[in-house]
Amino acid sequence: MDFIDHITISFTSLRSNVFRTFFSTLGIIIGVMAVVALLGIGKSAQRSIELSFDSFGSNSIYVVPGQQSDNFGPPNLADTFTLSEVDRFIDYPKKYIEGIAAQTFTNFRVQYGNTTESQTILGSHGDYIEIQNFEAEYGRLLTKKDSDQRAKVALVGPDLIEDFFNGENPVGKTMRINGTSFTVIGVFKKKGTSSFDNPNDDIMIPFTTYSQYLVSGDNLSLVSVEAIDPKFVEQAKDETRSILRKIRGVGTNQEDDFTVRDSGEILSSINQITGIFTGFLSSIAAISLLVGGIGVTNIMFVSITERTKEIGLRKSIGAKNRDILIQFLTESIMVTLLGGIIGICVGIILSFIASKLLDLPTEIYLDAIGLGVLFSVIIGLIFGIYPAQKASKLNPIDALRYE
Amino acid sequence: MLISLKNIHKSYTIGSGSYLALKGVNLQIEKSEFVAIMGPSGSGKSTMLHILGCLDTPSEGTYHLNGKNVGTLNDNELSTIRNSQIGFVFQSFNLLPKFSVLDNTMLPFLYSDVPKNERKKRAVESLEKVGLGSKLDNKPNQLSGGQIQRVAIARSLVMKPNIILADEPTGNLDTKTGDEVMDIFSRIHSEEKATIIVITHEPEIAEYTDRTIMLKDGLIVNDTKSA
Repeated sequence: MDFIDHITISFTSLRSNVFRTFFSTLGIIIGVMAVVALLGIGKSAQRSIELSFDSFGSNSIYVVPGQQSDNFGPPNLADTFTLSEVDRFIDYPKKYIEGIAAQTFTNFRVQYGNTTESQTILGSHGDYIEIQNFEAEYGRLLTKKDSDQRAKVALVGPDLIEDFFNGENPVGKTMRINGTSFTVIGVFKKKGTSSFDNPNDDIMIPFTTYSQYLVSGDNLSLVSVEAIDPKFVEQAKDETRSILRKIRGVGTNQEDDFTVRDSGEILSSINQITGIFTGFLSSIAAISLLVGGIGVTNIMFVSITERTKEIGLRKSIGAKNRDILIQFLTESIMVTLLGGIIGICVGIILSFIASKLLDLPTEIYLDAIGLGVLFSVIIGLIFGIYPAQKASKLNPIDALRYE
Repeated sequence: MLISLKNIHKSYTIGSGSYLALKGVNLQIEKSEFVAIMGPSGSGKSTMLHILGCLDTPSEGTYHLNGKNVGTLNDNELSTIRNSQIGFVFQSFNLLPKFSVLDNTMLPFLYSDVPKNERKKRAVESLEKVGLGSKLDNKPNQLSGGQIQRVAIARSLVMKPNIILADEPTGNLDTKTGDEVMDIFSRIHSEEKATIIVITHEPEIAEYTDRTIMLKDGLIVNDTKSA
């Protein structure tokens, strides 16, 4: 009896019970689907995070106001940086730091032509453009001159061309932000995005202009610092801390009223969160696979009881115990493999949908498909072996008499 | 000598006691004999069939099949003997309902080393012998009881076994189709020189055979050859 014979027999018997086969494999479908979707979405998210950090560079350091005990607590707004603090920091003699930038953002109503929409307005100061590696797609970038003159100019994200400027190149056009007229001087090149941050639909203006026309006060919520070289990130962090303590007048026995992090730390804390998410989905997958496997064992026992006479007949015409064992094992593996294949398809569709919704890059991961197939075969084997063994050990005389 | 039973005993343990189904059977059957084994229920007929068919082994005594002592064989060897030397025909037919007539007939090949390209040809030949050459693709539920039993006979023939063992083959059929089935056995016996052993409790069925063995309480009480 060869492999093809086994497959044919199993297929014939499964085909005669389409609904039962489908429902018995539902747990496997859900489990494999979870595994595939998990790997797909997880990897897309991972890639997009890495992409967006690549564009920042690995020598970036971030300073946020307030002492953050955990990684993602809200910043303490009372301790925001003022424009003069940032300017003093920029003018301070430094050894390991080559660029300093500061930013803040708020949503304002923006009017262009007949359209009025709420948009994110980002006020940038210092070497923001350089640190974030912005490049011009059309027009030019913001300059120090714009900042010094408090010019009413704006650099806009490429997504806004379609979403806001009706597909026209906005360079040279005028729009009103919170009632004040601004001239669009450039569109920057598309940047890497993540679900946490999409700069491509931001409107960027000099912070000096921002604080004069849009808000009262000059509070900056984030300071970015660029180390002269990735290998001096730690020194640059220490330098940043000591300079900011002096500028902000933090006493020697007092704790910092700001938090300094490098991009690696931020990346690892984001990874930690995606790790929790991944772990949660993995345990759902594992539980469904376990429950699905038990369902398969159960349905195999039902099938074997129903076919006791068939087993008796097969033995009487010469089937060896091993033949019966392999027959039922093939059947349980085919049930789980079928569930696995359906699960892989649904999982791929789900990760496509999720990637679209979360605006992540979509890719099909061959290892997810491979893992799905592997899992379903292994589960068919593990959860099918016990019933198959029982079937193979049936006494042919008793089996033939079974009604 | 094809079949030689010497002092065969078979006991079953039921609960704490034991039950003796065969109490010392001696029997010899030659090649190409057509034999009926008769007896009331509880006489040991079924036990005889199981032992002759290598589905069971005797508790005591020796069974030589074609010169080989069956008592010394293991499970796998007994399976091989059932596959190649014995063709079973059952009272309840035992066809697989999802499989076609042809596939049912080819079933024993699955457990044999008959080359794949010969299987279909041999199965069709067997089905033609029982007059079902035109029903190859039908499912069992499209056939009458008599036709179903003829498929089962074709299945028992495909491996060209030494012995065909039929257990009450007409028990589920009316008299007329029962006679048709027995006619087929007679024809196979005369044309193929096959050894056929029929277990029955109906004297009319036994009349088709050349030799009738009567069992009672686990012993042979009569063994007559008809002229």
